[in-house]
Amino acid sequence: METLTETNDKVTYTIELLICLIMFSVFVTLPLYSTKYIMGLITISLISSICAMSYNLLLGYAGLLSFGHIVGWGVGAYTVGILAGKGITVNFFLIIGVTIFVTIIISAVFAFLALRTQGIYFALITLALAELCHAVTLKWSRFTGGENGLTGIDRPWLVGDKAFYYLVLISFIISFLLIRSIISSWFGKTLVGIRENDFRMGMLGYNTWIFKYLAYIISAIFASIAGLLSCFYIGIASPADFNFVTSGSFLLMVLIGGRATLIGPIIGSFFVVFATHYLSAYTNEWMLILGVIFVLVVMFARKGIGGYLLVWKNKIQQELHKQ
Amino acid sequence: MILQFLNGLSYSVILFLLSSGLCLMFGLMKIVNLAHGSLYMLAGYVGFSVARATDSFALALLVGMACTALISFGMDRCLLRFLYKQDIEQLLVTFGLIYIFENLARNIWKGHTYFVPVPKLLIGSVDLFGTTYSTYRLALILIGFSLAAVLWLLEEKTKIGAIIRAGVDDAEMVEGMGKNVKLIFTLVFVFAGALAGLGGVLGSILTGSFLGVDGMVLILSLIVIVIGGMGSLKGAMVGSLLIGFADVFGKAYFPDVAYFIVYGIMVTVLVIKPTGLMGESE
Repeated sequence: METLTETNDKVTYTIELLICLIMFSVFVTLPLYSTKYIMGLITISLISSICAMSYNLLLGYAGLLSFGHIVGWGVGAYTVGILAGKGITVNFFLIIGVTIFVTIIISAVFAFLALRTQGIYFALITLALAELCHAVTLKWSRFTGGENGLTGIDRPWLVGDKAFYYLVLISFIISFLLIRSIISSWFGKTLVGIRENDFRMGMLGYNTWIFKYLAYIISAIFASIAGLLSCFYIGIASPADFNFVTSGSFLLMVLIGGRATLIGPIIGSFFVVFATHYLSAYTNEWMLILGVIFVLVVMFARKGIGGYLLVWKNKIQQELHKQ
Repeated sequence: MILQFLNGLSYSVILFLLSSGLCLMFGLMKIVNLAHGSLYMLAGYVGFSVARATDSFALALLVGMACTALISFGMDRCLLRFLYKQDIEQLLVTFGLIYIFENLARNIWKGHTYFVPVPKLLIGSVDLFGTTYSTYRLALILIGFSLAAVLWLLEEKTKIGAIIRAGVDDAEMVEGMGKNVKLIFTLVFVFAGALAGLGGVLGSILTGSFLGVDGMVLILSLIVIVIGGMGSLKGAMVGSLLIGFADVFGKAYFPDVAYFIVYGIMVTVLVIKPTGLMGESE
């Protein structure tokens, strides 16, 4: 893959800051003027963004194609389903703590297994492990509610849509800042190095395995937070949280948005969430459309929206430097 | 016990039909076709429709295989050819195709479950080792083993097999020797598609064709090739037998955990030998 570098100078930095501030104020004031329907879609988009950004950390930056990223999401959803749905605890912070704990344990085991291999093998094994989780939710029905899933989940503090939207917004901003700092830290830079040339990084004295291992676990934690929020929002944890279609839509978000770009997955999430909701109002063929977009993006638009924006930005910068 | 043994064998044959195709593709082109399960599903559905319309099993088998071979041809020529040696992109494209094929099947067959009827010649059962056993399943076992033998002979004893084996080691060199490697890639791809089609029609008699069977057989055959060692035909055979028996015996004797036994085997193999039982060590 072509390496895209983000270089900043004063002008573009100011512009970016400005855009961020505008977006921030739009999102904060959104409940004042938006309809309930749009706000619902934006809530879902923001939740998906968290998952997609963490997926990108793995796929875009570490260069690991995992078909099992959905596991983090599903574990988050089912932890909420079991704790809140069965009335064990309704303490929001306790649930977050337990979710992160469970996710770390499961992803530590899964990453250990999957990272015994590389490349295609890694992708296939993560796919099989995701299907294993899917099977657990279906077959271990005493614990997971089987095909019906777990219901009766109340939102933390029983908040309404608006308050929950702000909860999601806060989680989104925290995740965004955290992932941004991970990417720009030495850890993120090392991951990119490993993506570009694993062998050479090893020769330089890096233990590449441990970096990939940690990247897998960290990205799973963010995904589980997203799954947790989603479960609170829609009030059900179901086997669909682990299935192929959900998994593919997150992958699509990253691909459309642009791999290895910071804001790409966010754009991708909004695009996929809005597109599927509006398309499903008109047609039942949205899975076909999803698949076709998927193939087209991989074949012809590999940089994704975020990637093309970055190219554009670099061009502007060059123009500025010339003057 | 004998019954379970034979059931395990016939199930292994279906898995072998799928995983041997995957193996051939991976061995030669380092491609894993994630839409392989979808081909199985489509072939089963097409086979059913043809069998219902014409009442001929042979025709159903032929059309089902031709369909999947054609789809594979299209996939190779229109998509994968342009992604040569880009393994992540190839996986992603075939992953996207899963959705397209599933939607196609949903539109045409409306999500019903259909079974291809057992061919007339093979209806009924035969006496075997003191038990009676379905003639069709017995025939399936025979077909599977003869196919395994044919594949082995093709790969080891014929010129095309030699070219394929050489292509596995060094495709560029083979190209340099004046062999049309691209054509051979396409041939192998089409052949693997036809094998999936064969598996789809024959397997539909046992498993039925339904939405979701694609994912089910895909995961199982992926586990088979991961266990056996990717790209090794011998590995595909060993893996198919292992998973086929584990699944059938598991369902018969440990129904509660049957589904997880295959994953247990995969995990064990991964921990002990990540390259698979028959795979070459890195």
